[in-house]
Formats: sequence, C-alpha cells, structure tokens
Amino acid sequence: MRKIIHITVLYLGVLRSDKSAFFWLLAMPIVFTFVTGFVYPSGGGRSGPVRYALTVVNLDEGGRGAELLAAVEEADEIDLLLLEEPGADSTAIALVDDGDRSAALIIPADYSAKIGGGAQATIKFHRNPERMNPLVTREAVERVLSRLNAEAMVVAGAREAYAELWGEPTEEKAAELTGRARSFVADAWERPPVTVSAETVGRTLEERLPPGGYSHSSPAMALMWVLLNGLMASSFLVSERREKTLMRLFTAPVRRSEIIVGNLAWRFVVGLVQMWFLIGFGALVFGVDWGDSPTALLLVTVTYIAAVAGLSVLIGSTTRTSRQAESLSLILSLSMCALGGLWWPLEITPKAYQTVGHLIPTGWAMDAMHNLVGRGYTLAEVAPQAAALAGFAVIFTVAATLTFRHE
Amino acid sequence: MREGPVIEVKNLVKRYGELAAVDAVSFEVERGEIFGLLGPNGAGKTTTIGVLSCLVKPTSGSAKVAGIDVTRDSLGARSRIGVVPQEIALYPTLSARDNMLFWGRMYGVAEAELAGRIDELLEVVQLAGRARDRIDTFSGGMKRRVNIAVGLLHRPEVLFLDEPTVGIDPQTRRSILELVKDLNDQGLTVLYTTHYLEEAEFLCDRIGIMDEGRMLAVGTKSELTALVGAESVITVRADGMDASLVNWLEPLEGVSDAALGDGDLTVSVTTGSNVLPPLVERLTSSGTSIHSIDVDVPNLEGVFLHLTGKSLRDEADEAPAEDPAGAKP
Ligand SMILES: Nc1ncnc2c1ncn2[C@@H]1O[C@H](COP(=O)(O)OP(=O)(O)O)[C@@H](O)[C@H]1O
Ligand SMILES: [Mg+2]
Repeated sequence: MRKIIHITVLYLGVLRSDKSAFFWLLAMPIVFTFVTGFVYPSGGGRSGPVRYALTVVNLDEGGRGAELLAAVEEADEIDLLLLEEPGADSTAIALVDDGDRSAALIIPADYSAKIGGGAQATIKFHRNPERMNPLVTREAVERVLSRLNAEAMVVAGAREAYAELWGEPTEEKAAELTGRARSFVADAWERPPVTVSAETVGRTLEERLPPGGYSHSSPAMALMWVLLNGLMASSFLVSERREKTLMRLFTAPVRRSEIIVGNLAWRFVVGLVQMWFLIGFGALVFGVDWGDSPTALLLVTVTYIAAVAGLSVLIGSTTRTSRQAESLSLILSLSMCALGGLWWPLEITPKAYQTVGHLIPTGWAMDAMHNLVGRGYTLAEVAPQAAALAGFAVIFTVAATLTFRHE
Repeated sequence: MREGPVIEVKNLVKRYGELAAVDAVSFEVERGEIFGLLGPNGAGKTTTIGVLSCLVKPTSGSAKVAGIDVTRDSLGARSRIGVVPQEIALYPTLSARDNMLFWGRMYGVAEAELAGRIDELLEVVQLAGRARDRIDTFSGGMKRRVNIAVGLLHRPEVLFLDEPTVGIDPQTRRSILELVKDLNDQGLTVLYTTHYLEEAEFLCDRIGIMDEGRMLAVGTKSELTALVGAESVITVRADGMDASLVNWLEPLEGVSDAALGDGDLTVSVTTGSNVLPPLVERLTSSGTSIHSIDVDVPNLEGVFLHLTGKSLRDEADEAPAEDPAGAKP
C-alpha cells in the first residue's frame, strides 16, 4: 500500500515538473466550457421558475383595468408586454394570429365604468391555438380575476346586508365596509375552504428535456477533458517501458499488483482532482447547479474516472510507441465524446445513435450528469448509470492487468 | 552475513520456442569479486541477468541470489540485488535526489535512513553538488553515475551491470569502469556483462565465457589462458632464413613447435620461457635482416577463438577506443 502511494506521489511530481500539465488539465477545460456554454440553447432543467409572456392592451378609461394588470403581474410566472400605441388592440390580435405572440389580453374602454355601475364587465383573452403558453397565462389571469370577483361580491353583499339592517351607509361607513370586505377576502384567499392537491406522476416533460447552456457544457466539458487528459496519460506508461524505469521497478521488491494499482491510482487521483476542480469552477463561476446529492455526484465521477484510468493503462499496455498511444487516445476520446452525447445531447439523436452511446462509458456518464444537473435526481436514481460505469472500470482494469508488461 | 556464494546458477535453461537463449548454464559468484559474463551479442548474457533479477522466468534449472531461489521468493531475491539497466532508467524531469528518494522507497529503504544514504551515495558518485538539479540537465556520464547509485541505495549483496559501457564516449566509459572498481574495492560484489575483452580483463576477477546460450569456460584470466595451452607465438619476418634455423630451435627448452613459411618463421613457446634473446642473437649474427618480430601472448581473444573457432572482435560492434587498463591512474 505504501509503495502504491509512493508511485502516485512520484507521478504527481512528474506532472508538476511539466509546465503544460496545468494548462491542459485545468485551463483548457475552462475555456471550452465557457465557449461552448454559449452554443448550447438553454433547454429544460431547473434554471429557476419559467416565466411566460402575455401581451396586454389596456383601453380602460378608469382605474380598475390598471388594478387588474398589477394583480396579474404579481403572479410569479407572468411577464406583461404592454402595447400602448393607438390601435394597439388590433395590432395585438394581428400579432397573435401571426404566431408572433402566443396570447393577448385586451381590457375594454368601459371596464371600470361597467364594474362601477354594477354591470357585467368582459375582458378579452385572445390566443393562438398552436401555442401552449396561453394555457398557463390564461389560468393566471383567471386566478386573479376570481379573487377580484370574490372581492366585488363580498363588498356588494356586505353593503346590501348593512342597508337592510341600518339603512344606506354614510360615505365614511361605505369606505370602511369596502376595506373590511377586502381584507376578509385577502385572508380567506390564503386559506380557501376547498383546495385541489395536484401531483405529477413521473417526470414532467420539462424535466425530461436535456439541460442547456452551462448546465450542459460544464459537465460535458469536464467529462471530455478528464477523458482526453486521462487517456493521453497512457503515453507515460509507454515511455516508462522505453526508458526502462518500469523494468527497473520490476527488479525492485515491488509486487506486480502494486505497480499496476500505482499506475491506476495516480491517474485516478489526477482525474478526480481535475473533475472536482471543474465542478467547483462550474458552480462558482458558471452558476451550475450540480443537483441535490453530492454523494450521487461523487459516485458518478468516481466510477467514470476509474473507467478512464483503467482504459488509459490498457492503452499504455497495448501500444508500442508514445505516438501510437497518443493517436489512439485522441481518436478514442474524441469519438467517445461525440458518441456519448458530450458535444450534442443524446436526447436529440436517433435511437441507434443512443444505443451506440451506451456501449461506451461517456453515454452513461452524460446521462448521469444530465440527471443530476438538470433534474436533481437522487443517488438511487443515478445508480444504474454508476453501475454501468463501474462495469466499464472493471472490464478495462482487468484487461489492463492482463496486458501489463515491462518490455 | 551468510556464508557461501552470492550467486549460484545451476543448469539454467531459458527457451524462447526453439531457441535456447540460455542453455544449461552454471556458475557461482563469490562474495567480494567482480564476475564477468563475456560473450558476443546474442550469447545469452542479458537473459541470464534477467533470470537473476526476476524479470525472466527460467525454463528449467535453478538460480539463487544470496541463497534465495529467484523463482520461489522473488521479492526476497529482489530486495538483495541491485540492478543497473543499460539505459538511464531514471525520471528525467525530476531531480537526482527525488529520483533516489523514489527508488529508495521502492527498494524498501527505511525512511529514517534514506536521506543519509542518498547523501552518502551522491558523495560516492561525486554528484553531491547537483543533488537538486533535474536529471535532464546532466551530462551522459553524470546520468550514468546516478543510474548506478540508484542500484546501490538498499545496500544490495550484489550489483548487476549489463553492458553499462555500450555506445558511450571513452571518458564516460573510463569513469564508469573506475567507479565499479572502487565500489568493488570497498567490498561490493559485482556481476558484470560485456562483449569487450579489454573490460573483462581489466575489471573481472573471474570470467565466464558465453556463446550461443552456453557457458564455455569459467575461471580467472590465467586459468582461462591455460586452457589454450598457455603458449605464446613468436612470429619473425626476415630475409634469408633457412631450415637450419628450425632444426636449431626445435630441441631448445620451452619450444613446442617451429615452422618456416614464405619469409616468416613461427615459433610456439611456453609463456615465460626465454627463447627470444638467443633467437635474435642467432639471426643477427648470421647476418639476416629482420623486418619485424611479433610476440603473441595468450589472451582472452585467443581463448575465445580456441573455444568457439571465431573471433570475438569480429562480433563486437566496435572495439573500445582506448585501452581501459590505461584508465587506472
Ligand atoms: N524475449 C525474447 N524472445 C525471444 N527471443 C529472445 C528474447 N530475449 C532474448 N532472446 C534471444 O535470446 C538470445 C540471447 O539474447 P540475450 O540474452 O539478449 O543475449 P546478450 O545479452 O548476450 O546479447 C538471442 O538470440 C535473442 O535474440
Ligand atoms: Mg545483452
């Protein structure tokens, strides 16, 4: 065990003596994350509450229309796009019909007058039938309206009851009645007598979409560079054979198993440090939310890096020259990035492509990352991906052990 | 320290398919000696050292280091040997000291002892001042000295050097031979392989001559030269020699054979006999004009020729540029 640690420490020293190591391990991945973060459209995921735009035209000559809009705007999910130019109502309808806007709310000129006169006021909600957003915005408008309606009804009811008992209220009394009725409704609205408890079964559509922006680029580039640098490290084993340091190690009282584990261990440690540096950087600088379970993230990264380390030693053991090792590593890591969905999400690729992506570790690792970053899955929910990665780690390590040689 | 030979090889065989790289080789190396394995390329020297350093699994026979069978207790055997590969088996971007720290730990040198041992060895190889410099800033000779020092960290019972002077400049070669000799003077047992006769003669107490996997003869230089009859050959080139000269020579004490060729005379004599002065006197008094006289004293080249029927020099890729015996101050 001590000798394994010494071999690991030796290689950390060798890497430290190599000035380009820092550049390739830490700087390049950050640059790539930054650049590619722009390219990926922001998709699903949990990047804060989603907001919906609603076009509104307020033709009301009194103040009630503005009150209604203020109440709608208070609803978290709505952004109001106010159209104010003359003829705005027909402009809004044209925009919706053309599909430029998903829905428009039009408050008529006599809105306040009708409410004040006790008549029934009507507002117009104009929607494009091909869009989903109006389902949400209309629901929000109706929710606001039903509160305003309830308020109006309670005020009217209270006035009528007062008049029957004590005669028409004075101005002062009327204002007090209205105030009380409103605060009654506001309280009651918080604790309605009947509520609907809605639960979504399974994951929502939104959660099933791959995350975009840095939520994709940050984990994807971390996976890519850990893989690329990890596999490229295979050439160290080739040069250890060429320089005969490996042969010398085999003539020292060190077990073959210790030498192999030492070679896996330093690659593993470097990969893990690199990965968690990039995770930390992604969280702090790119604002990536790495999910709810650090344990799950640890499990996924550990199994992935173990697979990379095993493959790196396998490549080092089965190639003859550093050039061969490096070319093979480059070809393997780039094709595994493309096929595993690191450059474009597997979710948008054809079925056959996705199948191929799951014959290699990257496909599973990217799935696990999307589940953690975009969807906040738990440890148990990413266990299948972690198990697949652990499987790859075992296969590569066994193959590397069988082919490991000193000449 | 235990009694008995440091290395015992008995009937060692290593086959690669049909080829016997090592074919029933036996020899022993005693404590404190420099034992040389001398033979041309492909003789099986590296394979023999490979078996002794646990890199090569023997096909049959036995090999023991410090009494330990290398196939039974490979770790135990490895902890008692120091191996100096022909290549500079060091990490070029690390300092001499960091290299030695790593290898010391791999050899199981106690942490408390390691730093002192490194200083001591750097002193021995005269690199104490460069301890913290990277290996890739060293000259070839300095690298080779560190390479040897690494093999000594754990105070091995025997040091293996496999053709450490192949392809290096004369000055470096000289410094390595001197270093090996000095270490041996301090009591280190050395197993040294070479295809250079001069190195074997200069360095080794005993020599094993190998060819095509077989050990042809083992002994000190004089034991080996005795094998070829211990005879010197005097060759005289002169005008006007005749058969009477041969008749005069043959009965002389120490002369085993004399023959007259076309302008030259060859006389085989027991080494150390005193034939040359009377021969020269007789030639000059008879008025013969002498062109040249060569005295061929028996050497390992002659031994090798005698044993294999071929010359070792032809096999050697290039003979060393200078006589290593001249290296001794
Ligand atoms: N790993 C191997 N596989 C096949 N043949 C080998 C191997 N190692 C050495 N040989 C052969 O064994 C013979 C002895 O080689 P070696 O021990 O290297 O000789 P030397 O060191 O005296 O030059 C050579 O003919 C060589 O080609
Ligand atoms: Mg050799």
